[in-house]
Amino acid sequence: MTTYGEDIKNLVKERLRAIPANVRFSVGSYGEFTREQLIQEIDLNTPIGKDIIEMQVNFIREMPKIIAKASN
Amino acid sequence: MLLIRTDHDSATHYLFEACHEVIEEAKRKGFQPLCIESKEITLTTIQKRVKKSHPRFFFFNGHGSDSSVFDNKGKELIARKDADVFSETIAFTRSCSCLQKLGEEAVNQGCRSFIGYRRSFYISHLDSYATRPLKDPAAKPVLETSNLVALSLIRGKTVGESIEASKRKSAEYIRDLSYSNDPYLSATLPALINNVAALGFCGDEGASLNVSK
Repeated sequence: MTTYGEDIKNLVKERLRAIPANVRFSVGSYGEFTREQLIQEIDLNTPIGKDIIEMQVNFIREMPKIIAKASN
Repeated sequence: MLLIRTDHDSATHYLFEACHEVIEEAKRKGFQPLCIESKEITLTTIQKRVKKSHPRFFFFNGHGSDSSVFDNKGKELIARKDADVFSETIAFTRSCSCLQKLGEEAVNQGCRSFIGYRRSFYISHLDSYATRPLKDPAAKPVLETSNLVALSLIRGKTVGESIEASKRKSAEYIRDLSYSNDPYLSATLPALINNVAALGFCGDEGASLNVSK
């Protein structure tokens, strides 16, 4: 898994803070997390934290391509 | 058709409930789905059922890793050394990361085609819908698009067509959610994009269940 710098981590944390408090993410066998828990995982550099960063970065990368495909 | 569905936490409960639609469609299409659930989910039981019924479609729902899927206790259920259990089937594992190593080994051991995910499978959901997963608006796009892989196979589509159907539906949802003002759906978008990017297969893209259309 790629290592991301603080700028990316802060971006991902801000994106997570925009999610309503009653939303949960089930992350494979890692379990179920609130946005606060995911932010903690990022701060602690855990495998879940890295996974959620990867997920959000993929989201930012893939969005334009998927929107373009869906609009055709 | 062999369908295994674990149910021991939120994520697996959502997948368990989502399978109802697939089971009903399978029956309508003339399949006799053999469901393995709860305490029955053991490798021995699965091996016996496979040997007896020779399923064409093997559909697993539960947690996984890159080299195995897990049972209701989170313990390894089918590992690479057991991958011959998928032999002569089209397998779809709705689990994290299985495509990477388990899928490859399954095809090496005779699986016609193995559909799965290359990384973690995310489900976004609202805590107020924990007991009513099928009504959860945040989970609906994720569950529906992944169900479409199984449904398309049951309806006679090839592996390639089934994956494409799921990705096309995902793209439609992503487009619609992008323009939505609903804040709850802002969690659904990254989950959906993650899952659609992770979805793939090993083996024969043209494999199908040979269902009369």
